[in-house]
Amino acid sequence: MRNLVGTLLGAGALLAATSARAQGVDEFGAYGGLENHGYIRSKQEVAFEVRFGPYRPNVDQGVAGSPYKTIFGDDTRWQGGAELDWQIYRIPKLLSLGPGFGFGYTHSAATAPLASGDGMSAQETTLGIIPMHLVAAFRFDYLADRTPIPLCPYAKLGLGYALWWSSIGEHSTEVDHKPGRGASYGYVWALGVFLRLDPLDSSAAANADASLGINHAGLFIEWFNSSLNGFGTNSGMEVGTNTWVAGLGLEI
Amino acid sequence: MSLRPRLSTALLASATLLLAGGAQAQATNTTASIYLKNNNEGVVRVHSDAYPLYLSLNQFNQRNCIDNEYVTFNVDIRGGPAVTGAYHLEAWIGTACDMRSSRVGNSASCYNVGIAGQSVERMEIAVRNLVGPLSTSGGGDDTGGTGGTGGTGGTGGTAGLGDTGGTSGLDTGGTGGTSSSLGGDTGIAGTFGNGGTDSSSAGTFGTAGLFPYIIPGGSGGNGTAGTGIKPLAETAGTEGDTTTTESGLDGPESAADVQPISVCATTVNTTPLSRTLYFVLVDGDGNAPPAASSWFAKWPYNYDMGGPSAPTGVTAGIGESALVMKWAQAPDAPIDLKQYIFLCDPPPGGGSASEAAAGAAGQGGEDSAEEEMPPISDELCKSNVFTEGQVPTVDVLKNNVCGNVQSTSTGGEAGPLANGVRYAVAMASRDSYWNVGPISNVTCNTPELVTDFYEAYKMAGGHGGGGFCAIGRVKTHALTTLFMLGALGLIARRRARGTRRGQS
Repeated sequence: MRNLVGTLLGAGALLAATSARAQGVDEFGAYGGLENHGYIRSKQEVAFEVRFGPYRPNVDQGVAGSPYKTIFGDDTRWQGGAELDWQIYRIPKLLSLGPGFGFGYTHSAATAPLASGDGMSAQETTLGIIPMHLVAAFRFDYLADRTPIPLCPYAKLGLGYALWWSSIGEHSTEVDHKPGRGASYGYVWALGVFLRLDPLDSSAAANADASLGINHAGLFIEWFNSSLNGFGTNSGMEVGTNTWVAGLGLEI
Repeated sequence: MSLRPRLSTALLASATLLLAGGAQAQATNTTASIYLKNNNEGVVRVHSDAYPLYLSLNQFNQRNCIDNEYVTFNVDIRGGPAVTGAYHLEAWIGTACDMRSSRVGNSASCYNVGIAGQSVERMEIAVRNLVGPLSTSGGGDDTGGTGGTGGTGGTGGTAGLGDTGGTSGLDTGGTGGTSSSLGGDTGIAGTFGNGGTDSSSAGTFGTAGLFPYIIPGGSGGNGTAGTGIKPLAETAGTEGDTTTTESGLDGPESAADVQPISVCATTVNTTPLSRTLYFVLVDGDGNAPPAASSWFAKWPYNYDMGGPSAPTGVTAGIGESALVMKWAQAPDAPIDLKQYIFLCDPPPGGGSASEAAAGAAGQGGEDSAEEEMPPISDELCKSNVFTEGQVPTVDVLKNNVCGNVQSTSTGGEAGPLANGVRYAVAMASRDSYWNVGPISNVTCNTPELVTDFYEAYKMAGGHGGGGFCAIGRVKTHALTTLFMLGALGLIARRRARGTRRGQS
């Protein structure tokens, strides 16, 4: 125990001594302690994510048959997107909480079958979706900030909203004079973990913080669930999904 | 030191300068000079084609040439009666035509396209002259070349859509370029027959054997013309087969001075070319006024006389109310390839086959009955109105175009078409000068109903769709939740700030 305390005190003394020296960044990088693991960080306010993952909308839920699978098959469709979280409430080196907004885009396309059932046409039918979500994002920073484990688990919960549209050939489709496009609502949640890459090159991380204000950079992976069926009313097309999403994250 | 003496001196000096300048300007006005008035006034053009907005004032395409368009130029000759009484206006095209040495006959470098009388400041110049060859071989001034024998006329225009059509076409071509004071440039190398003689409408002019484009014959009372060829200019049918000559520098400008229509086809350039038109002020010997300050004016222009090659490997797949076209770009596509157009027979617009075919039957005259085109055969894929390798006629471009796409595409849809009707479809390319090239291979298919995703979804009982705003009462729940979350966020932030202030 004494050893541990001694170590901590020593570290504290070192920290104090380090902070007393001149600090900064020049053409050779950070100096005066900034280069050492980033003990001194700029203010952190937002998290930005570039997101990527498969996206298979749950259209076939809540309807008879499986129109999505019938038309588009089982091929994996992908989404790309981004998210910005405002870490409005933050306890340094422990957690952060705040609203976040994200959006993505996914597109499914396949040749449409002939109505006669005699085969396939040469015309393409599509379904485009722009899923969006407004969530409360909770990030647990304790592990990464206070232990050698560079992981930050997080959770998100909120509202989902998606615009979707369908087309046949070069035209939008319609049935009974109702256009094949709409909006869907529901809820979303996600559980994930953020892997900080700072320990790989603490000097570069310190430089990025000192010069660009990037506190942390890393990779994340999350399980994302959206149920966009109008909160159970089935009033819109269920274009939500259950999928994993991965990407690059920055905390600034 | 007061500023007033300096100011007075400066004013006096300025006044002196102004007076001197005015005197100098007056002196300049006495020198001969010529200016092309500004574009709104100096160059007046009436487009004959349907795409005037796509061409600039100084751009000419094959259609402008075939239709024998004229451009009116208005110049301003300054210098007073002493100048206008001794000098006249001439128009030349070519290189360095302001040099006297370049304006010798119709040399290889300069070609005379207009001569005006003294004091005339207006000149009409045919587009054919602007795009035609700069020089011709043959005799000198006023000698005229010996005409050759006329070629054999092409087959007559395919039967017009009325009850008479060009069935002839075996007429011999021109009568041969008779020697004339205007030179043999009036002849055309037997390219044009006189066409069918049995009709006053279609078929009046035979299809040119050598002429790569086909344009409708005169519109007769019995329906729109078939694929006859446009009447020749006044000189149609007269031809010098080997030699043509210039019209003579001092000859009056007349219709006979105009290049033959064949230049519109023989001067084929599928990429734009540039030339310069010179207006020069010269005396009877072709000499410019001495000490002229500006004795010539230039007008640069561009022309493109050939449409791009057709795309290759054109296929048509089944679509709903459409055919799905796919193709490959021609290997010799010009850099100014602008777009591809789809051609459909019967014409687009939906309806039954007979209705669609009737649309292609033309506007009948008083005594003509509408003649329905036969439906496209299931066995033989062939259009009734267009053929591979031909340049589409004006009527085909007017009636049978069923879509277009940008030149970067290799796929698109032809439509709107009627489901269940068999169509012959083809493509043609169009360049930035709005020239249309020859028709691609013709392919056939029949549009059918298809089941798209949204239809499948609705058939499965789905309730979604109807527009982005068709969200019903769910919207209120969603918005309420949204506002609640927002309020919670604000409360959390305020509490956080309060905590920080308390700590500080």
